This record gives sequence, C-alpha cells and structure tokens, in this order.
Amino acid sequence: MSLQDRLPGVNYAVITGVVKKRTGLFTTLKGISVIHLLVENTVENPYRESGKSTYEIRVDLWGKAARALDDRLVPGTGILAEGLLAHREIEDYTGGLRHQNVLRASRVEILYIEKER
Amino acid sequence: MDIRLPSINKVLISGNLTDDPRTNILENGTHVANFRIASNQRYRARDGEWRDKTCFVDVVTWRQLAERVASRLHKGSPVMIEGELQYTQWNAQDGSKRSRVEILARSVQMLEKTGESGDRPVYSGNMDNPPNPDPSDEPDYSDDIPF
Repeated sequence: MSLQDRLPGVNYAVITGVVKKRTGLFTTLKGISVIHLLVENTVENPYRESGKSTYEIRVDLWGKAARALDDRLVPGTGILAEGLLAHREIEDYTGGLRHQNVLRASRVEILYIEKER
Repeated sequence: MDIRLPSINKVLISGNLTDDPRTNILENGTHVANFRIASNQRYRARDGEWRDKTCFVDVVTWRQLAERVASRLHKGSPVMIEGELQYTQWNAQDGSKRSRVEILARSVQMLEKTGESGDRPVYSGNMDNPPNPDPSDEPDYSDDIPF
C-alpha cells in the first residue's frame, strides 16, 4: 500500500458534561485500572422547545488517570473528557452481542464538583 | 461570578463506509442518510508489532448533506467526518430499551480523489437539528458494566 492509499487515522472527540453514573475503580485481567462513566452532555439546540438536547455518553478512563481521579469522579461532577471514539462488544443477558461506542478518554479535567456549585 | 458548564461536543474522525448509505425521505420532504464507518487506529502492541484496531460508528446526516452523501458515497468510500456525538434511544422488538451513540455529521469530506485534479470535496450543511489508553493494552470487556 502506498502512502497515498493510507487513510489518515484521525479519531478525536471531546465533550463536557456531568457524571451521572460510574462504576468503581476496577482492574482488568491484564492488570489495568479502569473506571466507566456515564456522562450527561447538554448541547444548545435552537430547534427544540427547551433550547437544548441532552445526551448520555459513555466515557472510559484508564490507567494512572483513572486511579488519580477515582476519588473525585463522583456523580454530579462536571467534567471535560477528551480522547478517541472506541467500539466495544458486550454480551447482554440473553447471550447476544451488543455494540457500544464509548469515548476512551486520554484526558479528563474536573470542572466542578457537586458541592462546589 | 457564577460560571456555567461550557457546552462542548465535537468529533473528528476518518474512516471508510462499511456499506452504501441508507437514505430516507421524511413526510415533510426532509432527506436523511445513515451510514456506518470503520475507523482504523494504528498502534504498537507490546510485542512491538504494529496493529490496527477498528472502531465502527454510525453516522447520520440531514437535508442537503444527506442528498450529497447519498449520491456521492458508497461502500468503501474514505471520508473525514466532523460532527457531534448524539444519543438515541428506542424500544427493541422484545420490549427492552436500547440506545446507541452516533455521530450527527456537520460536514463530510470525501477523501477519494475525483478526476485528475485530485479535488477532495467537502460537503456541509445546516444540520443543527433533525426535524423532529495505550491501545496496545486493549482491555477485555468481560467485566459487567452496569450501564
């Protein structure tokens, strides 16, 4: 394959939002720490009566960052999450495969915590 | 001073269409096109080998952009998408609730060379609203995730 044929591997996503749910900090079989977050993202939307749309975005935080922020990422925390879109398959209760897209964060910045608002 | 949470939701991703776009025209005449892209991320594994990891993601376009996508893109087309993540929910046939995250595209850049000039058109449109870790350590997802 020549260089001209290779598609640039661009994959970047950034959102702000409020942590709605989270898992505990746990370690995978490969020994990597991870926290799974469900983040409520609200964007302005002039076409809606409410003037906004709210989405729930799954965010994964891995490794040192997960361990460092474990105590602070409580539900209600406002965050900025930056990273790449990833795809994962999980088995549901029927044994079927489900596909999910998640934001695999390389950086999470805490914008506020609930009690500070 | 009270500062509210900034509203940020941006995605920039490249990939190839996995199938031809599926198009639909709503009762009010609005065009909508849906397609899926496969985006490869190259990474170096622990054994030193370079590998590709593929992310599949659904994309939705509206109005003029949907029309252009439908007429110009096909299975395998390389594209650069700029848009935002959106979340949709629906009821499955078994009554269970399903949801997914997809990209609402603001612009679609076709990366396939067209003609000798090698122009790469960028299609964009007003789609503000539809009408209505180290990758080499790719973890397994055998652990239950409660959401």
